[in-house]
Amino acid sequence: MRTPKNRTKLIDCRGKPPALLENSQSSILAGEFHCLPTSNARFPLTLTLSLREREQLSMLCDVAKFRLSSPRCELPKRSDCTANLRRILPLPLGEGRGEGKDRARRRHGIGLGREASPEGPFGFEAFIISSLRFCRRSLTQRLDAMNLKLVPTLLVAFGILSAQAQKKSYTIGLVAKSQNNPVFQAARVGATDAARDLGGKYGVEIKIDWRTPNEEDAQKQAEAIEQLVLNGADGIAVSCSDANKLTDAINSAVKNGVPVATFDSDAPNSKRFVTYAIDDVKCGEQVMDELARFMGGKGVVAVLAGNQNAPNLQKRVQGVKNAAKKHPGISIRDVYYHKETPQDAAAKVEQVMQANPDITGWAMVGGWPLFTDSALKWQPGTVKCVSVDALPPELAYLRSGHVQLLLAQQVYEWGHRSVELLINKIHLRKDPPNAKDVSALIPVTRENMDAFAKNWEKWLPK
Amino acid sequence: MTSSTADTRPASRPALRLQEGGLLVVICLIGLLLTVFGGTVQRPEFNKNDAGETKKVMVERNKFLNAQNLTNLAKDTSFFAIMAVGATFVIVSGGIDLSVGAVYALASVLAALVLHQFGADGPRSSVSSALSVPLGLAVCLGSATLCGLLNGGMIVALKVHPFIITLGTMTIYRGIAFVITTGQSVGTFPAAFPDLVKWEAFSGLRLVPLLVMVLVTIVGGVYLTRLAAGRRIYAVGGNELASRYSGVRVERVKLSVYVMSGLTAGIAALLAIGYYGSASSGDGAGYELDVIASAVVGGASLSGGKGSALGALLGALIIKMIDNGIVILGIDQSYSRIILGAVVILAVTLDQFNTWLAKRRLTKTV
Repeated sequence: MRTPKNRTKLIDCRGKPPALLENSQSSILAGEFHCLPTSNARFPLTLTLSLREREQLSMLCDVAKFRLSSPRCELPKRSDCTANLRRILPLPLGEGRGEGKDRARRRHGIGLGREASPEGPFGFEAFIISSLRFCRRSLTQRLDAMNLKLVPTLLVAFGILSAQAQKKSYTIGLVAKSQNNPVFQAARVGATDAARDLGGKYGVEIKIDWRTPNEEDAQKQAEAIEQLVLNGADGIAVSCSDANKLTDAINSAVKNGVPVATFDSDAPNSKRFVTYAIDDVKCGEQVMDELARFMGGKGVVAVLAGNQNAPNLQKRVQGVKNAAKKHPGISIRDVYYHKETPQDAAAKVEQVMQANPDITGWAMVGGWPLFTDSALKWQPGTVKCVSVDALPPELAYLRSGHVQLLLAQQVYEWGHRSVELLINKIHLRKDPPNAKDVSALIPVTRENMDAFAKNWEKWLPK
Repeated sequence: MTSSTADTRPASRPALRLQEGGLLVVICLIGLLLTVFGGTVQRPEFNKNDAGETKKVMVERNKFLNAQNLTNLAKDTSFFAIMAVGATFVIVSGGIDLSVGAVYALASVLAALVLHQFGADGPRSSVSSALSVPLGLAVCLGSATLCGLLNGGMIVALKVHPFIITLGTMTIYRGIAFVITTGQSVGTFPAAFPDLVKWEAFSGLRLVPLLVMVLVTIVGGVYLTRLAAGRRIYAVGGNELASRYSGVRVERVKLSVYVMSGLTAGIAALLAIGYYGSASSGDGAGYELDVIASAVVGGASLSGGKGSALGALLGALIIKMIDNGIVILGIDQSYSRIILGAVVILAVTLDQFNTWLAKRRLTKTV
């Protein structure tokens, strides 16, 4: 009995929506299949096949036919399935390619035996069978001859593939402070280069997973660290926006077996195994000492200090104040904080200069205003300026004479060195000799700025 | 008699509104995609043997569908979802609160300063945590509620658009937080406080943020839909003038929604400082937009009169799931803002389409 249920079952096999009896046309065959290759379930033969499906079935059927027609295979033992499949092959008139070559509604006219073949025992079918046999024999002989050479070749190929498949892979999470800051983009390039270089050197695959918040947000950094650990990172390098807030996340990562290195801004109370950064207090001292040298040891200094929340900047300011004590002719007017965007910083400098025209020196513990084109309005040389960082836009102020010295942090190395330290720890099981890996500042003046500028071609993302 | 009672009974309300049903489908779909395409990860698990020694075993887990990741996702969602429930109150009433991020920062900082006094480095470290922790809780929730009250009070008294008032208080509150901390991060609390928030239930799962989020959503949902006070918020958001003429005390309703918004910001701040162990004046910067986006994705209409607490939670969950999915699928973080922005626009467009369909269906029925 044909029921809607077993019709659905049939359709599932063929991947085609049901064709209703009343809607079906000439290619619908009355009757029932008694066998499918995968199932013996009985089902109604009411499907309408597409041209492609017919072709696929035809191929299946032809292969089965040739195999079954072999003299080794007795005709009575043939599967009914093939015969049944064969029944739906011929296309009736008006059904596309091959149309009208056979009678679609003929129930028993098409079979697999010699008696069923329209060409008879010596027809086209026999020719194909003998051709296939010839091909098979020829191929077998060739394979036999190649056998001795082929086996070792296959083994070597398999060995290479296995070695490739088993190549160790490490994922290093990189969490910088913010995406918008070009110094962290340089760190990212450094990390990617280190991954490529060290991967080649040690025969491992190293992937850098960059998970940096869009804007500075310690909570989002902590979330990123947690997600990286859950995602199976092998090591994490982080520049902390708020050391207190990240300490727990770092400790949790270490507890889960993921070593953490910090760069640029440290979390000293955490269980990170190493930090790669400048010594911030010494950096501040160097800024003040150099500025005092340019100012001839006397004058009024303003300190530009960026975000007051950043502990590393606070330390630099402390360094500036410490060094100022060594120069009795120098007085610090004030420390000016601002939102860490170039426009805000430039506005702050302008505002301070308007209110304090007697300022003769600027100690910038970060070079934020120098990213804009016209942040410094004074005549070159009238006010001396020393700033941390030497990014390409900042170099223009050296050229114009507004800034006397830039102290470049090795921002590319933040990423490169952090990955190197992590790979040493993870792959070579080697700890750094000191938990504080101090990075030196590179003095950039008008004399060496062109040579230094070439580095940025490599450091900035392409 | 019986039949007449049956006739007058209101038609049964579906368990979930169509909007929320749609959000659930989206969440299930994203979850399914992340489960299938996220792959697996080897995670260490620490098992104790018979001798009592802890042994590290590497276990393969699906990257998305594992208890740790789901708990973490719930935790990340909780801070936004709790604030989004409060923001939904405001949005339903036809207002807007841009100061939630700043209230969050101020409440965090004030509570952190109080708790720091009783922490290991503080001058009152000897005081029992039974006193210090409730004091910290009271300061956090109280200050946030007060901020909300000030917002609402100014909006009602000055009759100025809430956008302007909350834009002003956003910078005022953050400025106060900056002045009282001098921009420094405040940490080191009595151990009992972070232990409470980071309480581990089963095999290291920290469920407190999740439980608080669910609780706030339930309370918010019940308030909005089951209490007369909640229905008045919809009335005011739907048509303020009509509500006034109907005897609804519009000013009181407006005041209450900003108090609710402040309170939820305080609850979120409390969880955040307990979980992360410190607070600074820079906390929660830009969160107001994420919170409003969560409420809007959850079906709240910025023109008022529409929205639900559950929708806000689901909206926040969708946003955080996308955030989580970006990490799991290894998509470059640089694209996260584009994806999130697109999702917000898509969700709101779908919401409008849904409303149009509903109206059309209603017109046809009539």
